Amino acid sequence: MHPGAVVPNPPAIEVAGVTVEFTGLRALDGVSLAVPPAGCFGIVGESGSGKSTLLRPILGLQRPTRGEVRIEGTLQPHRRDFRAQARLVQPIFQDPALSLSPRRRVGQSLDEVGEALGEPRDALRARLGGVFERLGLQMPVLDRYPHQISGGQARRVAIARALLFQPRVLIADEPTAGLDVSVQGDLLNLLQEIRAATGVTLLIVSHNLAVIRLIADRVAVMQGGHIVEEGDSRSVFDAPRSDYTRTLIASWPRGQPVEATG
Amino acid sequence: MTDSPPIALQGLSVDFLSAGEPPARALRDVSLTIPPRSIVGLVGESGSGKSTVAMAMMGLLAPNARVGAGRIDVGARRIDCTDGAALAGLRGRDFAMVFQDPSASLNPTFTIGAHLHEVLRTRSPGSDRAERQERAIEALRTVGIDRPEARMRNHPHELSGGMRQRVVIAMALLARPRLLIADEPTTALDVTVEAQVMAEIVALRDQIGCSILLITHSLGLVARYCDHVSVIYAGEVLEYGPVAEVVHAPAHPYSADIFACDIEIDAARAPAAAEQRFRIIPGNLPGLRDLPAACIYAPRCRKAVPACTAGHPALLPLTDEPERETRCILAR
Repeated sequence: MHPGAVVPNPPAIEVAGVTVEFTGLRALDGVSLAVPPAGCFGIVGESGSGKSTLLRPILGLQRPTRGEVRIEGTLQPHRRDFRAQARLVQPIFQDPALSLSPRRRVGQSLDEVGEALGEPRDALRARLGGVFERLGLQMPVLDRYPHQISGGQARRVAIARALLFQPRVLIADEPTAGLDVSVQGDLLNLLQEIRAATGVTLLIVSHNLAVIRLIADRVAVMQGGHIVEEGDSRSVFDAPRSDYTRTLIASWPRGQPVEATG
Repeated sequence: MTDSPPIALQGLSVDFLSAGEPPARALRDVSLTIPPRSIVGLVGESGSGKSTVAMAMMGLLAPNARVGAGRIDVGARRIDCTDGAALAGLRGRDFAMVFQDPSASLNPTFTIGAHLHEVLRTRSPGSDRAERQERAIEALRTVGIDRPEARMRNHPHELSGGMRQRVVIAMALLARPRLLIADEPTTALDVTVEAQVMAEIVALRDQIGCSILLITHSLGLVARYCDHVSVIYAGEVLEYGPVAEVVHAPAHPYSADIFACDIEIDAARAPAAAEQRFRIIPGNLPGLRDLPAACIYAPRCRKAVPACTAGHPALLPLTDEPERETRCILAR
């Protein structure tokens, strides 16, 4: 984030001077960032750049050593009011199994959202119908255990669980990692549809530059616990200012342009 | 340079057996031609069987695998893939392998030096210790490892993933195989390290003159580094040919579909990011226990016609381009 950058609306996520230190290691070093509302913001970087560490204070899972994070003006972590916290920000993890208990039927895991929000089960199940329809999930999935559904269904269930909280901010950590190219577009299209239908602010962290280039309005490039470049996706990818960004883009394997036949 | 014959894998079929179920027919009649000094890509998605090809060639399949048929021509020799002892004779001498996870090739209790010495004891039985030490250090230096003398005394866990992969490449350098099988060698690495490790693999080929079978899901790597490519789907090679031709004018609809799904760093963009939509291939892989006598891609194929399900198509050369092969009956 550059001091003079103009943010049109109050930011959905404001990261101000955040430093996170583990024993003997500074994983984030004075990171500042303003994520505008209702767009898709991408964070790219390699292993150890701090991109996943940055998600922890944003999700309220870790108090920064220094600095602060606000989501729509509310200081994180906001543990005194769990419901408000859960409605502010929800994660979609890389491995959907992490969001689902292997010992509970899918429906039971989703009913927990109602318990967390203090919403009657009938009311939650009524909303669930709409969310399932949007995600292309069938109601019988509710009676299955996680190991009885496909990986693609499990991902959708994890997204359904996050959407039931109707969060202001949705955070996806490496959403396409481990997915074949023939199916990754399905997940990306789904995120695009959710974004259009709900106006949620989407923060995607990924090492996949090519995906972020297409899906994100704005991009931050991280290296060694710093943001080395941040800006409009087109300008970052088409005219990178940082040497590191240029190296990242140049290292991306590129073949010949392919024209789809038929 | 004399023209040695290509390494040829012919008609490899592998089943996986499990109690109470019909066998899963993981590979059916897979053939690959790997010309000398060339890099051949074997590209496919999860479940395509691409790693099973590598493990079958190395004789390292799981105990429940049954090799039904297959042979490998290496130089003047013809090796039967059902003969585990014969395959073991190729392993570490004619064939070396780089796995996705370099830790799979490295013993955590041995130093880097011990690994390299072991390769040299096998490949240069007449060498003495001082000579082996010198060649091992030189190999580490060649693959871009700093302070190789100090690294010889390190254990694998003291090195980064990229450095460990370089050590495995150094082991291959000392083994001087005819063929290096690299199975997703850079999938676990960051993109800047991937570029460096691929450069070392190409340099290895240039230095020892081996052929390389690059097994990958990355179409970008195939287009950038391979001379020929074989596209594998659900246990069958659907298309084979020179990379430029296959990428520019795929002769199988699956190849075209998968290339269209691949997101390139310079792909065309929608005017606004929110309007961007992404391609997919609808449908699922066929079940390997109950395969139809038809084109295996027909249920997902945009171009399928009734003739596609009338019989199982063979991998045959294109009429106008005999160096290319496809199973698609519509491309002939």
